[in-house]
Amino acid sequence: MVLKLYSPTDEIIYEETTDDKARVTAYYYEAEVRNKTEGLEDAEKKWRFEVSQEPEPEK
Amino acid sequence: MRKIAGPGHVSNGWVDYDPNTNPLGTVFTADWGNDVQNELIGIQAEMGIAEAAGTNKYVLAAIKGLMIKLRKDVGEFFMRGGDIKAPAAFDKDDPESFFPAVCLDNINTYVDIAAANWPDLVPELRTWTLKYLDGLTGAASAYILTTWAIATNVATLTFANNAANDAAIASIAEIFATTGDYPVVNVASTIGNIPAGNYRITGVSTVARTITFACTASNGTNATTNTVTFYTNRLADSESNPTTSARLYGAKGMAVISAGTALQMSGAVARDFMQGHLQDRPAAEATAGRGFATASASNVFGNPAAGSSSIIPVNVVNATGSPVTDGINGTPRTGTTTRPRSITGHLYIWAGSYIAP
Repeated sequence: MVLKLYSPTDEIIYEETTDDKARVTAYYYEAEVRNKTEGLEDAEKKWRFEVSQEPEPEK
Repeated sequence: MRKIAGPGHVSNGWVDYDPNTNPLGTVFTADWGNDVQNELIGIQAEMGIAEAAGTNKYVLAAIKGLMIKLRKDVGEFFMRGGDIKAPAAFDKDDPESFFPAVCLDNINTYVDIAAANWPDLVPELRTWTLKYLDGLTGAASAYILTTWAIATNVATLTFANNAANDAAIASIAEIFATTGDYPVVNVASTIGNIPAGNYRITGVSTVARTITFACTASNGTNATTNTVTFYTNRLADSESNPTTSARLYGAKGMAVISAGTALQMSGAVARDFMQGHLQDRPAAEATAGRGFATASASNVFGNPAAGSSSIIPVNVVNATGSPVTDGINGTPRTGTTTRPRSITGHLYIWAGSYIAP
């Protein structure tokens, strides 16, 4: 899977490809802590993370 | 204490004086009398009751006080119905009013309590650490570093990539998300330029596996294999009365759950969660006329935007339908927290002793 951390301005700050499901927790908390630290918990634009599956290779 | 062994005892028991059959009786000895006296005084003294002439109720008062003091373990959480009960110091004239406990649900965020008022609870709380899989295979309470760094009096510790470290760092992040406060990191012995001590964490990155904290020391960085420990209720060395105080976190509306999983580390507080899952966009359904405005509107699904009369959502991101009944279990209830059926009481922590300010 591909994990991405987006800033409130939609920049990708961290990105990695991993099979380690614990890293989803890490990305989740990274966004949580940054939003709380910056007072963005209820903001429209805030830190967020995205999990996506790698596309299957073409056969 | 011992049984009477003075002259005239019978099998270490007392026998009465009788002028015909037992003209001596059993002699009351100083040894025995002092033993009895010291035993009784010791019971009083255990609850701080001073000797006083002409009293005959303070041994009983002390016994009642001890029964209350020891009825729970220091640090034990418990619930109690009714109104909040304030802590009460032991009173030898009203021993049953003794209530050495702190209510945790009338603390907004946290309070720092002093050993002068809570002589048993503060030392107990100062020992509480974040433990991973406490008591289970793979348990850890010391977390391995890979790098230390100091730049302009801010220390950064980077942790090794392992499950215990990931859980501890996530737990620190959860404590911050719950309370707005970070726990203390204990550096047991000097790591590079970072002196030994207790430091209040000021930042955490779960992705980079780092914590940061203020530390007045020379700039530098290097690899390390040292470990650190996290104290959930301890104060940092730079805070007021760090060795004679402890921090208690509020627990409004919280339940107590057992430790033992990665994100339920003993000593940590946490918010409520929905069981972990991801909810992907229904890309396969992203076809015009099947709940989507266009085939490319793959992140648009659910209720129409407010004010829209269309059942087809247009440019509504992150919208979902309301929960509906499964036809068996009634209409789903929703609220600000996830919880089972419950009865509400007040949550306390038992302190064992209390001295009013």
